[in-house]
Amino acid sequence: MSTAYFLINARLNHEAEIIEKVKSALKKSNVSSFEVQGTFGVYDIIVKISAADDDVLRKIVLEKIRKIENIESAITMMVNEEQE
Amino acid sequence: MATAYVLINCEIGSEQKVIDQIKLIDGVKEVRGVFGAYDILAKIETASSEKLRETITWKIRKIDRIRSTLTLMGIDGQE
Repeated sequence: MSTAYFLINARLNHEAEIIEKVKSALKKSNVSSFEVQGTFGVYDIIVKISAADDDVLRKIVLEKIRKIENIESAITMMVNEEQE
Repeated sequence: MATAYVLINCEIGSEQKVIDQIKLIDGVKEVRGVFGAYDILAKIETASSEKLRETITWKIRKIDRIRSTLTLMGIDGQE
């Protein structure tokens, strides 16, 4: 199992729309689990995705998340599975 | 219910020690070591945002070997 967190900056006023798009994209993909939360602070949205392995995860990020319009920037942080 | 994500940078090599200490704190739902711009990510849930503020200020930020923290407060209704 691999897990990653994404810190997303949204174009102003597009936060709710991006959250909905992320959720619908992930529901249709083969992720094991996911969480999406809008936040106050330096980043606008935080997303957690767990998938079968790194390749599946990478594919989902490239093909689903990064294609969403009105995302200004996204930072990916892979979870270090050895540290729990 | 108030939720926050805390992004942490700690001293090099002390990630596991910091993770172990964060785990003991009330309200911490999740704590993971990560690769990238930050070293550790913690998810905290408390009954009120006041309790959340106390947990972050007095418990997390008091841990030795933590260099910096960045807090993202969850927005109700955007989840």
